[in-house]
Amino acid sequence: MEGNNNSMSESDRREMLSDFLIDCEVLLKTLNDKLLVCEKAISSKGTIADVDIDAMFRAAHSIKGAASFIGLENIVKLTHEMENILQKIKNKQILMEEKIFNVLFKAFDKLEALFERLKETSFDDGDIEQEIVSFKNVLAFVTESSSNSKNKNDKYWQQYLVETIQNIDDFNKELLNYEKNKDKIDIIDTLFRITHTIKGSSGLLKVSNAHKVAHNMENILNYARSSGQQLDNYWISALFGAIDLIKEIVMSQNDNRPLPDNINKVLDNLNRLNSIIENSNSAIVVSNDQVEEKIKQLITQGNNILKISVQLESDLSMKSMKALLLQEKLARITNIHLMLPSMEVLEKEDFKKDVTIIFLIDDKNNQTDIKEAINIDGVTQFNIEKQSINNSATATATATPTTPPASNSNSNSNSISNSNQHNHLEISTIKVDSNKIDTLLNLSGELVILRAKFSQILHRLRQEKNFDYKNINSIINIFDETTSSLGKMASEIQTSVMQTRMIPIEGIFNRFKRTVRDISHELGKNIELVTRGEDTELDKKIVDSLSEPLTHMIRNAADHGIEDQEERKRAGKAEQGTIYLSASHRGNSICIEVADDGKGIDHNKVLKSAIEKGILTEEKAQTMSKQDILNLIFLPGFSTAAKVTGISGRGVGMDVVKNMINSVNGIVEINTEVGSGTSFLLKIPLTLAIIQALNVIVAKEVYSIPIESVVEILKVHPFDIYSVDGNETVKLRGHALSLIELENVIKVQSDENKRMGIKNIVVITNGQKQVGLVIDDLIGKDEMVIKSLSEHFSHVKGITGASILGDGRVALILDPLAIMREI
Amino acid sequence: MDINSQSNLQPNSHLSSNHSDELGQYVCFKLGKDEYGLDIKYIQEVIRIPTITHVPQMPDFVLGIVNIRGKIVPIFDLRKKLMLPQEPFNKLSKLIVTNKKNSLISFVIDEISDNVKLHLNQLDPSPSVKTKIDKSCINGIGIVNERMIVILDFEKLIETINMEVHMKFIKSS
Repeated sequence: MEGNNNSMSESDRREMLSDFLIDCEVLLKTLNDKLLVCEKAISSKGTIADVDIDAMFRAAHSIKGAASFIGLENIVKLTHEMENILQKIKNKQILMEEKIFNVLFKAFDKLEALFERLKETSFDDGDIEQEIVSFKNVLAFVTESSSNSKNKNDKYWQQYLVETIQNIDDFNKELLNYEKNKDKIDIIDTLFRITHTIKGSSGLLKVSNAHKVAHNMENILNYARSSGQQLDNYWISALFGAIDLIKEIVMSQNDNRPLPDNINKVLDNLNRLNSIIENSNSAIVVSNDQVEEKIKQLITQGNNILKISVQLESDLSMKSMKALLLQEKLARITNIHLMLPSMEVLEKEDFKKDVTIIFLIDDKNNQTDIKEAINIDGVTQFNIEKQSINNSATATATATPTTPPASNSNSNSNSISNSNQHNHLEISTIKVDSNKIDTLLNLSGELVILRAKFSQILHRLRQEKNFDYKNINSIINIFDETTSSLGKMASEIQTSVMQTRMIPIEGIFNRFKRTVRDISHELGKNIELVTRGEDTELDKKIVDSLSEPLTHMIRNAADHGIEDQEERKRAGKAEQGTIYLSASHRGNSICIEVADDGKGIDHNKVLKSAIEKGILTEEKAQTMSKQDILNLIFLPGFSTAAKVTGISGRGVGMDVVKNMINSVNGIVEINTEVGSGTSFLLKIPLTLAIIQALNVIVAKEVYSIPIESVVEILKVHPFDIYSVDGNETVKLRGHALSLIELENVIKVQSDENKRMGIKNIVVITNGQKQVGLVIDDLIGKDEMVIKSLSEHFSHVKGITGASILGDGRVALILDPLAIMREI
Repeated sequence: MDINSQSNLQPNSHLSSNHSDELGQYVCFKLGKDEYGLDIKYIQEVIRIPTITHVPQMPDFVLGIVNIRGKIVPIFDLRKKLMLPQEPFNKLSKLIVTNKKNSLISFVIDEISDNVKLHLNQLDPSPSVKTKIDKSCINGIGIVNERMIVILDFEKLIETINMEVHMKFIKSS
């Protein structure tokens, strides 16, 4: 390049330079434009088109080529780095995230500056070191974090994802358990094992960040395990934060999106914790919580406090004696508020390890005396700090290795767990108990035998030339038998296949324990989640769709249902609020109950709020029953009215919950008693693929009504039908029941010769109210395999799908909820 | 349209001589007296009309749904769709089941005639003759010997069906 430069005459160079400048103007503009496009895409979380990256890459490449020809070294270097990083983005080795973008943009600014300089002085001198370094830095970080963007379909990745999410759930469950029973050391073992598994598989799949975090967690747990020390709340929060972080890392890699910004903070914090452990390996950990609390308490009482931490030599014998000496010496000078570990503990311990003793003493402005007092033989390190509220948390970190830098990690861990709730994870693979598969295998074996039986029958029939009645009869008998065993087998196979889709609800229930823990910390309430019937199995698709509405409901219960501790005390209730979450089978549906022992919902307040909002008129309000009023909370637009229960906040509209439950053909019922609590009952069909339905005939067509919505079947004499407001109504056990005709509601073909006389009525419900559906005839109850309708019919109201009847005809499945909306 | 040249046409000679201008094979059927053709690549099967289940709220050319070996398939009345005069179904009435990217749709037709191969020069893409049906749904008129076959544009047909179904719901809501 230098040679090139020298051999060129000055005039040649000038000419080339001006050409170069003209060429590059266009290229710089392209770069600028595309960078702006990227910025927009990044800020709106959109995707960046490959062509844009490509265009930038080519522009940088062209500038570099032309610049190297003229010998503009700085421009070459800078564009080389840009080209480098753009190529990596192009090859999907790294993601175009904000960090990278910022570096690119800065580099581009520098590039423009260099060009300005070039125009003025015809040289591209300028300091580009900073840009080059930041390129290196950003690459060093991102290549590790997202260098291998995962192919979601990669079967190993899928397996890893499923397993790791499961492990994370388990970890959360166990850690919650530990938080309550800190003396159970075997939980630490379990936690350690889970973490180890996560670490191992993350390492294998090169999810290096997750690997790193898991490694750090493992260190903490290993330390707790080997030292037999209980982990205090600070460490537990750190572990929660860490497991959330792993989840976030795994999810973001799965979705091919950049890691959230706060990841570094959490990572730093973990690293710091780890270094504490490594430094003080085998030291006695002093419970930081206890110290912090005491400091706060003392300071609020108006004391000036000094915190002294003294580290004793590790191979010192008679450490307790030294500690006693220290205590006495200090006591002579000032008041000792706290000594940790206490003398009793110190005396019991067999000291073969380091120990750090923390004293909290009154500050009497005699630091030199104190220093003298603690500077005795065997003290390797000591540290004196003045405490005030704001530095009580962090200032200790540098000096005393065993005290973790406190509490700001709490906020970090919280923010991560919050963002977690937005990732709705859908894993399409199912873990199936191998017994279930074995059953299927056996059944399919039997099916083969059955086929042989049928061909045997056929064979016998063919041989039957002279139609002997007796023979034919015996063949018919065998045929009958075989057919019925085929029928039995078919339904067995069907149930077994359905069984493979069934998973216990335990998974999401356990997740809520964590949710409740976080919420109660957040709200400063003392709430316990009691779960029952975790082993209830239901269709995976339903389990997946339940997690969101249940989260809303539990949040609502914790936020609006459960009172704060003061209020509970006043009401004479236990301080700890309880949210019950239970699942059980009831017939062909599953019942999930979310109940709390909070203050309940006052229906009068609901009514008042509904009238204020203009949802109801006063007159109409007069006629409503308590249940009707409570059902108002399911109305859209009533969502903010969740405030009637007291604390305003993120009350999620119950209409959202209801819609979500309805979308899986379920219904929601509400029961509440002011002062003693609220309960929401969700009734959901076991599976979405097969339903139990009541088949009826209306206008010569067969319709199936999902059994969950059917209350009862009635026969009504025409004399018992009254007309109320033009609507046909019957009296049913003292209540008015309006009758509806399908042809009026969902415009089915009407029957010209309508049956007169006694009417058959199917009473259906949506959990809130009941109506009577007039039918022509009843066929009976049957299991129906739901088939979806083509999109032509997606707007048809009142129909959810179709299924095939025994004779091959198609029956439409009615959607009672939609029908009741239509009235 | 040059009638002379068309009538002198020898389809068989074209068949062997020139494959490149072959348009494809068409299944021909009758609606009333007229003959229509649909590209065979869309056609899965032609069957007797099974029991139809009516679906409410649909435009009247949508007869409903039928069960074709466990699949629920929408069934359309092609006469009604193309605004041809109504006739009740008879013994010869058949159901053409079409398959495009695994989505099945079926049409009732009067009678199946046969299938023909068409060449480029046998298709008049913009016939000056008056057609009873919407021109946008046809590719042109195929002329095979003495027969004139209205070649339907399948994709367009599906498109207008979807459109009409959609419009019906927009209007009603």
